[in-house]
Amino acid sequence: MKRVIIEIILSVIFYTLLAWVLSGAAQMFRAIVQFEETDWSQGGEFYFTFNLIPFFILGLFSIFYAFYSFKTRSTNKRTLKWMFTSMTEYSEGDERESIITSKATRAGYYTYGVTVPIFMIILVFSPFFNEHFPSYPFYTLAAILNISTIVYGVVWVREYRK
Amino acid sequence: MAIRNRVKELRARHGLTQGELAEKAGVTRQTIVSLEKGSYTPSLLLAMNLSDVLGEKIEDIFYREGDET
Repeated sequence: MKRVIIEIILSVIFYTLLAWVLSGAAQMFRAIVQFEETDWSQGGEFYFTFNLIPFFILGLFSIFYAFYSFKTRSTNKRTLKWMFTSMTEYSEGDERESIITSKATRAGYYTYGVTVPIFMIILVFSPFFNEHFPSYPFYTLAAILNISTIVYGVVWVREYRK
Repeated sequence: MAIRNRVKELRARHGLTQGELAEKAGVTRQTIVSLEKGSYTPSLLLAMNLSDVLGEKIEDIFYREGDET
C-alpha cells in the first residue's frame, strides 16, 4: 500500500512539473513567433529570457521517479516492456490486489468522464485568460490527470483497507 | 448472500501465521487478513489452494451465511 501511495504522489508531482516545463517551452515558441513576425527593416532589439531551471528539476525528478519505480517493482516484473506498458501506480501482487486495482481504475475512469467536460467548459473562457495566464491549458490538462490519479489512489487505499 | 469462512480457526489449528499461510497459498498477507475479516471472497482457485494448504474440503472452509452447522 505504501508503494502505491508514494507512486501516486510522485505521479502528481510529475504531471505538475511537466505542465510547468511545457508551459515554459510554449512561452519560448511564442517568443520565437513574435521574433519572426517583427519587422526588422527599421532596426530594433529583441530580448527574451528562458528559464532552464524547470527542465533541470524535471530531469532530476524523472531520474529519481524512474529509479524508484524500477527498484520497487517485484523482480519478475522488472522489464523495460513492463515499465513502458504499465502504469506505475498499478499493484497486482495477487488476485485481491488485481480486483482492487480494477475498482480504482474504474473510479479514475469515471472521474475522467466528469472532469474532462468540466475543464472543456472552462477552456471555452480561454480568450479571457490567455493574456494574463497563457499557460493555463497545460495546467488544466495536468489538473485532469492529477484529479483522476488522486481518485484512483483514494479508492485503492480505501479498498485495500477493507 | 455473504460467504463466510473458517480460515482463521483452521490456520490456528495448523499453527500457521497469516504470513506463512499467505506464502503457501500464493497471496499477500493482507489478503489473508481480509479473508479472515470476511471482507474478501476469494476466487475458486484461491479457495482450492487454501483447501490444499489447510487439508480441508472447500465446503468445510467456506459456507454461505446462515448455513453454518
